[in-house]
Amino acid sequence: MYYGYTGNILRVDLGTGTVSRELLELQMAEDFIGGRGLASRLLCQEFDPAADALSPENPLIFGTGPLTGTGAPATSRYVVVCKAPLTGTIACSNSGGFFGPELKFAGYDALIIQGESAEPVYLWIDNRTVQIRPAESLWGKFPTETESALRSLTHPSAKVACIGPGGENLSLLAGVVNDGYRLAARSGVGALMGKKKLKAIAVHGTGSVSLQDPQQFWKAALDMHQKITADPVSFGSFRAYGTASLVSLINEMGAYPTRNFQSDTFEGAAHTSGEALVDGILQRNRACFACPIACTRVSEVKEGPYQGRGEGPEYESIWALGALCGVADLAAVSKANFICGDYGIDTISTGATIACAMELFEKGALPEQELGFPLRFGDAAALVRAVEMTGKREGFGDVLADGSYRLAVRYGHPEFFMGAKKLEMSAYSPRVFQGMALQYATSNRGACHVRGNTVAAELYGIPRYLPPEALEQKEEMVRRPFQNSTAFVDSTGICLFTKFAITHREICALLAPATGLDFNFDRSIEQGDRIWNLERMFNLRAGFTCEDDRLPQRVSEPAVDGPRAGSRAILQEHLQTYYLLRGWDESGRPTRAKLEELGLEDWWGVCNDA
Amino acid sequence: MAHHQADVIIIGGGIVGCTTAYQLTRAGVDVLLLDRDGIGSGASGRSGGGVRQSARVSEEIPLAKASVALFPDLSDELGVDIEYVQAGNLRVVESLDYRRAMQVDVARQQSHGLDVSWLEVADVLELVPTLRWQSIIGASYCPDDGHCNPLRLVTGFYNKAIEGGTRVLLNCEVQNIVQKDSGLAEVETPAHTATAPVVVLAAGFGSQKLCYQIGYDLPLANVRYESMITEPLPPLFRQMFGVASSDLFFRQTANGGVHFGGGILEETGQEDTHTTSSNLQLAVAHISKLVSDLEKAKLLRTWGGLDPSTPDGMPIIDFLNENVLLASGFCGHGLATGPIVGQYLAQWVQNGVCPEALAPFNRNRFDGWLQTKWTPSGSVAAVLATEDTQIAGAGELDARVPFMTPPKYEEPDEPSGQPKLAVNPQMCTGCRMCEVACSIAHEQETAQAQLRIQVVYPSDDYFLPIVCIHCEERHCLKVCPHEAMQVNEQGAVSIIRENCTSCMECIFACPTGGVTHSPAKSAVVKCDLCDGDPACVRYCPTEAITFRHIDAAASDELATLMTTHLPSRAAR
Ligand SMILES: Cc1cc2nc3c(=O)[nH]c(=O)nc-3n(C[C@H](O)[C@H](O)[C@H](O)COP(=O)(O)OP(=O)(O)OC[C@H]3O[C@@H](n4cnc5c(N)ncnc54)[C@H](O)[C@@H]3O)c2cc1C
Ligand code: SF4
Ligand code: SF4
Ligand code: SF4
Repeated sequence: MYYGYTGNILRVDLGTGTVSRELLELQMAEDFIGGRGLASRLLCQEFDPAADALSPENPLIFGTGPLTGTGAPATSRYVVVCKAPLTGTIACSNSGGFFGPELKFAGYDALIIQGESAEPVYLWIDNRTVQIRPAESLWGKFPTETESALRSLTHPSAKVACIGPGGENLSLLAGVVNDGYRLAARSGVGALMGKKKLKAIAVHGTGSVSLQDPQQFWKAALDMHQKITADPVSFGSFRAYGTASLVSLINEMGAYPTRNFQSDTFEGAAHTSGEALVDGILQRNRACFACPIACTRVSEVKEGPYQGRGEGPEYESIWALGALCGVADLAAVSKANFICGDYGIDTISTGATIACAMELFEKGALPEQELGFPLRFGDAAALVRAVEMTGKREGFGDVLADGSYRLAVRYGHPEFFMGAKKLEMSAYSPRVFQGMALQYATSNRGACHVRGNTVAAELYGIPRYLPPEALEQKEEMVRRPFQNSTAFVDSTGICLFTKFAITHREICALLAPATGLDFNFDRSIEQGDRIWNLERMFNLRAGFTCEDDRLPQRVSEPAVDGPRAGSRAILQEHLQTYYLLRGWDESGRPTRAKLEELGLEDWWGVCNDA
Repeated sequence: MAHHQADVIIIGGGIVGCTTAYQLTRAGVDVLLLDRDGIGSGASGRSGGGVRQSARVSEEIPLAKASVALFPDLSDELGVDIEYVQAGNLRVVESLDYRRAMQVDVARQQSHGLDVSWLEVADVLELVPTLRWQSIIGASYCPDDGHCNPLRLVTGFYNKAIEGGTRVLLNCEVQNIVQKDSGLAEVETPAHTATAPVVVLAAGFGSQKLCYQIGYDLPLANVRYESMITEPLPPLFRQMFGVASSDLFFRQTANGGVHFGGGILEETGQEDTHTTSSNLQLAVAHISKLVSDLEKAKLLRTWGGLDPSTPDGMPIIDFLNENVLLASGFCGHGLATGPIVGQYLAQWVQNGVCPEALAPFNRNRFDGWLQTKWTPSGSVAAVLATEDTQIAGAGELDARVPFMTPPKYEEPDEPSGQPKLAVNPQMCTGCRMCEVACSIAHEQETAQAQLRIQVVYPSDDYFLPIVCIHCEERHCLKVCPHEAMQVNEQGAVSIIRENCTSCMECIFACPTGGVTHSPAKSAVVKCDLCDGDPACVRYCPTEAITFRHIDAAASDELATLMTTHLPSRAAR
């Protein structure tokens, strides 16, 4: 009998059309928890990291955590894991809503999708009944349309994860979309789904998640519930303004990257802030499964040239499609955001790619004939047009759809690519937040903010305040309470946003009674560390080296203006200390001793002869 | 003791056994068919003869459609007149309480591509003038449905199977199925043994005992039907009829007799097919209320019949081990699907692959359900109740953001009645915390199949929980025929589980979706107001559900709200 876990892993081979069910190994669950950890572990056993990301051998793994669907606060999360089409690193994209819990109710901890179909198909999981069905009629449809079509083809309350046209046309910016609007967005996981010709997964589950000690579990869940609803960040600003509440805050700090990171303050931020969003376009807030925070915005632009409706825009999207492109028009930013949703492409990478194109154009490296129209910073109409072309791979959109790294290289200016390991940075300037600088450079999926969002410490003082510009203790902070901790949280099925109000201790207090396994605080640190190292080994085997733990030259140069003019990202000084603390050698490889400590010694040979 | 060998052994000479035997022999397979009695002696020969696609669960609709497509040619194919009449099926609604539920159900069936519609009473009478208008509100109507002579249908397939070479042993009760080291299965009867690589177990309720012996607990409840037929009468109607709120069915046979009957759910594992005068009288009274001038007709013959039901109203068709393929539990409407089920079973036996159309009927679907043991709200409810903090209200409230501040409700000066649940969709974020809390309080886990309160999402910015509104009329309690409902201290209708037979009358009676069926419990569940401290209210983070006195107008408003957004039963 499994508790917390359903105990089932569903394996679907789209090449042969076969479906089978495997049992979850409890030892593996204890070592890697679930979600991000477990799915990454499964990926490593299924696939050689050195192989091509768009090959049929690259499995697309959907994973839930042991807490997903239990009903404790914000237990809505599932992850999509594979080798990333955009970056070539390990990918783990994460999303909430109701799809993850439904997978659990249908009886599955994880879904391994291997092989490739010749024709478009969708997967219909109705509890224990699983079918691969033709999806000809769904191909080309937007996610919201796909969802409603599937609900009439399957079950009226089926939950759906799918790709938009972006995933179909193998855009490296494409994500997996669930519940109509929510994206497991980054790293191009949607392109792999498109390559497999898998349009969608529809799930209907009528089961439940059994708990080993329900009484103890609910004590802990209630405690967590009270902490979250008493927390001014989670239940105050995130509920009122959504993630967009950060816009004003970060901009006032002078840490809001603008015009492809040429500046760190945006004069138009007030027009696109969380407050402006509430006053202008917000219709409602919305929650994911069992979440008291309800940070999701349902918004609509009702007038003018940019009419549209959907969810968001979120903080990162407002930034990437706004400040980063110099656009201060909330309606246009929202429209661009809705289009990204329709095509199922990542707003951060899409905005960043267009910002890169804008810089190339303004600096004369990208001729107007190729673009088809002038693309200048601040031009809202051009932004919206470019986003739509990117979604469709139409005209120059065909180039944009492959992301900013490939764009910058193609036009001879790799230094205009603002990211690491081919993934674009997000909305916290590494010139200002020294923790983020180190995090961007060392993150296992490239320069993203959710592998270790040190802004919590450097702005909110959670778990403890360390000034953004301070250097001391940042390596340890990035490593342990952020990167390792995030790896742990992402593996449990709980939403990272709860971390403003709670710590590992509260999560472990749920995990143990949910699963009956020995989860505790000390082990959680080790589990996070193990997962991080496994991901690192995957990347090393895929061909990455310490040379890839780098930031763009631009952010190492002093900021030219704004309240923090003169500040710059300081990376090299940190890097060796960070490697040392991680138990890695000077070229960033885990030592044999480290791997043995974590029970990953099998990887030693695999990486060292690569 | 005689020993036999075959490619396939079929246990049960009902419609499923006979169609499967026919299809397999046609394909050149060597088949041995066994029945403990005679052909058609089980449900098949005793059935109502309805050949309908409508009024089935969604998963069965494709199967029924495919089967109905075979019927027009069956008389020719089998060389016997099966008396097939394709004149439609009407499912009559007798009371206003069921009207809305039926309309919703019609929409559900339409969404599965079925040609079915809702007819108002005038249209029903135009179609069938011999019905009594006083007793009818309307009906669902599926013109492609019809009926046939069940005995002729079964024997038709049987005779063809024999013609093709099926060997048969009648009056031969299978007592055990054993897996042999040779990889074959051996079937044991008092006077014979027989071995084959595959055994198709199509013994109706008789399958349960045999399953039990091979270690599979087949979840079947025994339903006994009592039927009768009148003397030949002049033509009255050509359609097949069912009744929404009861198990009454009727049709007129080729020689003019009106064939009708209904079901009684029996708690016992007994296989008796006796009839009782009281039940027969009830059925006679019921049909006389619906059809003009029937009360004078003479009854020629009465008989009983059993057709077992599964928790979700669908058959179980699946391999139990390498050898035994089970097909039972057709829940009172397996005659019509028999011809197609036989084809699919034959395919499955021959190529070893489950035909896609049968996939929904796998046995694993009950795995979780059967493990779930019902526990009265105990320790966990206590945990929920002892915490003294109300969840909502914390955090910084900002007047600019409308949904951050719940409205202040005035308590009426002279509160009448008891406090009730009130729902405010303007505050609801769709988080399903209420579902979770309620489920935990009653089931100790987030049990999706038995929700007393269920959040629905009519649009992308409008969400609300559907829950019992504790209406004054208490329709559910009024219609419950088994005394399984009572009013508790809080004034809520609550379930007496031991008495509930899952007849689901109450589900159809409640216009607002207040009652749900729990397959795990084999009983219905509904809101009981948590001893006056509703878990949903405590855990709703936004005060979208409150527990307070509301006046009649507010109660009506709630009723409209719930009715408007009530999902079809299939969606629950
Ligand atoms: C009154 C009534 C009305 C109905 N009306 C309709 C209707 O209108 N439309 C419709 O589609 N369906 C109707 N049904 C349902 C339908 O008749 C059944 O679902 C269907 O006939 C089931 O067929 P079967 O072959 O599975 O079972 P059965 O016909 O019950 O056959 C099982 C056979 O197995 C034999 N058997 C049992 N145990 C053993 C054993 N141990 N060894 C050997 N043999 C054994 C029995 O003798 C029996 O002959 C009705 C049923 C009843 C009772
Ligand atoms: S379940 Fe329906 S009918 Fe029964 S009391 Fe509640 S609202 Fe009324
Ligand atoms: S009052 Fe209690 S039983 Fe009724 S819906 Fe709320 S939690 Fe469920
Ligand atoms: S708990 Fe409250 S906000 Fe959440 S779904 Fe239920 S009624 Fe709506």
